[in-house]
Amino acid sequence: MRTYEALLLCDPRRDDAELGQTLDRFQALVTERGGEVRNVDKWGRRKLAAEVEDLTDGYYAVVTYDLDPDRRADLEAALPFVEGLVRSKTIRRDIRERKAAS
Amino acid sequence: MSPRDRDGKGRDGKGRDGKKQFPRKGRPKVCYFCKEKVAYIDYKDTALLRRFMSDRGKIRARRVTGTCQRHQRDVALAVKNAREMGLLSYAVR
Repeated sequence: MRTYEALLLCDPRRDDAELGQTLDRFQALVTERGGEVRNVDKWGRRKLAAEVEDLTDGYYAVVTYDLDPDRRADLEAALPFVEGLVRSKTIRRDIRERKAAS
Repeated sequence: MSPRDRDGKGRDGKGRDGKKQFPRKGRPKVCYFCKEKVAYIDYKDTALLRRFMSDRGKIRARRVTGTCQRHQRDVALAVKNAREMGLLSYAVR
């Protein structure tokens, strides 16, 4: 198991219930692969500094989760099919924690 | 000893070859991240990253900000990650 942190950029034109579904879908993908969601930090709607896929605003959320590294590629491959998810970026949280500890 | 003998420059600030010389002034810059002992440069921390960018959105050079080689690499990577996620702008004309 390894800790990852994903920043999700969701389509802000969707209403709150639909955005909740997008986040739930992402979390379900993690748990389906034997992972565990640790924390979900909803930033809410924000103006983008630059246009991303013709959007000027975005809904951001940071999801911290544990997952087996072997299942990571599998999860990444499923992300384009999550409805309402525009873009995501995942970083390894353990590198950050290791650096902070040293 | 005349001033020219000591530092190679006369009172007019010109060197031996007559060209104006620009001596290094002030104290040497110190890397912000080394000084503050920042363990990890987070691409989500846009307020911090903006300090290392020009108004046009370009990444400031090491010689301007005084960032050390290692941390400059981390800053550049963080800025590029932030741009991809729409947190920071790309360079504008």
